[in-house]
Amino acid sequence: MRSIVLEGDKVEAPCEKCGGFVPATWRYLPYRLADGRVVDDVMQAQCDTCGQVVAAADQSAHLIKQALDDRSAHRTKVRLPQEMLDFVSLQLSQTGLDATAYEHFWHALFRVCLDQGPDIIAGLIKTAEDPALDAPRRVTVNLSMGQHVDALFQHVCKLAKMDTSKVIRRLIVLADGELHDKIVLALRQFALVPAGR
Amino acid sequence: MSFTDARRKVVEALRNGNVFHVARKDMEEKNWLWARRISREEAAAIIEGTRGTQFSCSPYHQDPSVEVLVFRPSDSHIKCYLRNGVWFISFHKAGDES
Repeated sequence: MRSIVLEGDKVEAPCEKCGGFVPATWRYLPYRLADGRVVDDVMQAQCDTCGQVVAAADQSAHLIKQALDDRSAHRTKVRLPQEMLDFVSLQLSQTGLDATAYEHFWHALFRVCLDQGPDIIAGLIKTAEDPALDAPRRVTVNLSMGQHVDALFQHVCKLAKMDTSKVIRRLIVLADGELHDKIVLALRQFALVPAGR
Repeated sequence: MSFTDARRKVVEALRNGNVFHVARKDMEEKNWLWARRISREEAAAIIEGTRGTQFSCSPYHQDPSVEVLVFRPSDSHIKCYLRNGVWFISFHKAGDES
């Protein structure tokens, strides 16, 4: 592979401890963030003389971004009826995804919800009579949203005059109704299955 | 290295992914490219837009045979150097260059 660094590859990089450019070896190593968290398996070059980390490979930058995004992500817990979680799993597996990869479903749900614009409010209100909403809420799921999505989603909640949990449950009802095709399409992008298959 | 050559080569390195990052304390806070607060393509576009008056070139303090190229567009500070065909590039917001 030409475009990425492999473990054991060599580079010459500046070492603060040894002074000047030194031979160094690339290895997957833990990377400590300024806030103390550790990101595993970051490709870094260690000075062959003193062992100090002297460089990092750009191919690992996505891991750092992900860790930084996680820090700013808004997390929330939502109580759901088991039936709704079963529905989510079914949608995931029917799209060729891992049936427990719930984060893909939430991502698709948020995307489709926000794409609807103001129309989503009427949709949420229409679901009020769906019997699935009265089922006992036996399971708790953790949702994680980026700051931007969280801000937009909170705006939807405010317009609908509902809390986050209620909006999520009603969105799942819509995902089994008028939003179904759009959700499937959004999920297919995670599964890399061509639309129409 | 002339400004035109430097700009062309650094932009090419960013677009080809031939970029590495020098390890520094808290580098994910200071180096926007490493933290991907800016993409390689965005960094390349910013460098493409720099003018000769926003460029300087000086010997690397620990090894004078290496040239340190610095681009200073309005709100950024981009430091680059080439060693054995490998580019080390750091992208900072102005005032956070350390």
